[in-house]
Amino acid sequence: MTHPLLDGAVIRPSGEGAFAVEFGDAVDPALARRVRALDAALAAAAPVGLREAVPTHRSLLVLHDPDMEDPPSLLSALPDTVAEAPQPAAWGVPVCLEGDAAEDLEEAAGILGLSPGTFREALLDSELTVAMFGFAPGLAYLSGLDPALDLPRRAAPRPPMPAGSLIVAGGQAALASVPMPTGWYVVGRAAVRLFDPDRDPVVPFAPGDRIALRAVSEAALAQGREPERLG
Amino acid sequence: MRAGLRIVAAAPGASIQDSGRRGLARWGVSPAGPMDWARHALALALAGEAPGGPAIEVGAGGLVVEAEGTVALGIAGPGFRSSAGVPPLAVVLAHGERLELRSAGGAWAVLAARGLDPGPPVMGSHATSVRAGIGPPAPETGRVYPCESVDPAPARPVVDPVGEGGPIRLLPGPQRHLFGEDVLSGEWAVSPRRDRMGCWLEGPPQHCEAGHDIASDGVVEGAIQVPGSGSPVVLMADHQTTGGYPKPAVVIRADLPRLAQSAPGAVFRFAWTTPEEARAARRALEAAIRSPEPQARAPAAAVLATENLVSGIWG
Repeated sequence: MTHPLLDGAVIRPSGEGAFAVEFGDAVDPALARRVRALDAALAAAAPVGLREAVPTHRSLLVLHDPDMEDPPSLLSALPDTVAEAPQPAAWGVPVCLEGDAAEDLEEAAGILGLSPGTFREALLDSELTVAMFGFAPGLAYLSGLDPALDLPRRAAPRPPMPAGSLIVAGGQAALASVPMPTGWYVVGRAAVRLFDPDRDPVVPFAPGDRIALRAVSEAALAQGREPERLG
Repeated sequence: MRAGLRIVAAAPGASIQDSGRRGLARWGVSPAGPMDWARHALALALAGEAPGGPAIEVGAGGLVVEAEGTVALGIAGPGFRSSAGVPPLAVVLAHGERLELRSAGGAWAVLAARGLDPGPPVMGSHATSVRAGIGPPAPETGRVYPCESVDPAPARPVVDPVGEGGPIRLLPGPQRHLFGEDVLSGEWAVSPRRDRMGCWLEGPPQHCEAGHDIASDGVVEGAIQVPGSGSPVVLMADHQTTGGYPKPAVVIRADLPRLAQSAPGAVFRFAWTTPEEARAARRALEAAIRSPEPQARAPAAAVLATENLVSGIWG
């Protein structure tokens, strides 16, 4: 019988050292919750041969010992009764939504036919959740962006934005930990360090954590605050 | 007693690499590690080091080093030449002796030294993600890496255990089902556009039935992703941890070194294989690396050795 955590999931091969447990093919918070539940249960079970796992919007990539005979058998280590996945944390994250820190905000608001003030309010009212990390060290994809802020990616990437930038495009938001060119719009900058090689873990948030943006002034950016744990 | 290895000249592209940074992909941190894992392991073995440790990866721009004290090196890399002989070889440098490593068409070489200390690990590893700027300080002119002091020994060339030619073998990737039967068939070549992150391919355009923008999922080294252009990219050591392009296939580990070292424009084909064959090929290569065959002595060297024995200078 299929384990409840795997109900309806499909195993997708990924070379000789990995497979993906795929719950669907869309960016969907409900799928992401199932991914997180499996990720937590697999980490707790710690089956022999498991190397690491990479949770994404809709699947869990499981990296394993490439010498394993039957890699998906790792999943049989999941216990019959699964404890509740750990409660996600809630964070208040100070962001500056003005001036150089938000250099594309007026452009993005203009494309959507919104005033910059309305754009800022919609950002601050968005109930954001860390969906996954990927693409670059510590880059956090955030789901839950107000649908009024859904605008397409740029046709061509813009020049690199500074570390800590809050970027939006394609109905998603992200906190970018490292400077890089992007096809998204830079609408703010977080006053917290999002990636620190000397910290364990190297990022302050985990997938599933809720994020509330808190507007701060440009002067606050220099102060290097910590995110505020709300719960 | 400690010795050292001084970098006399290093072209951009040289970096410190161990076998890779593991366990941090969930935070977006690429594993990095060597472009050619087989030559990395071979160079370490030739230097008398355990597999997986730190060594200097050298790009086509080459590297010049000088010994401070007596140091044991292992050098591997197809299409490279060294002032101590043609790699792969083990060589011991005397104090003040220099070694030059130059590409003669090869893409990546590895220079390992016994006891090489690249400094403290970064997030538990000595791998360098060049794209993300994560890793130990790069080998730059003037830098000295502490090494183990050894006794003098003659150079020991060995046979390169990585085979040449034949198809690059593939296993299915997570979106194999979204491509047609003939995906990645035909003739392919590596584009001159390649770096530690990706190896762009030239060949027939590939079409994904579900479109080329998918919800991001996790990627592994060797995964072949197909963006909207239809031109596939093989994701190499510095690959991003997740990607939003469909991935029909993954290059097997045993054949990844050949792909990494392919000359731009050189034509090859892909062939689908099984997990069992992929594992057998990788294990065979790992075993060959552990005990490399000595290179048959070149005729000129044989003559030289005889003359030296006759004259009584050696032995």
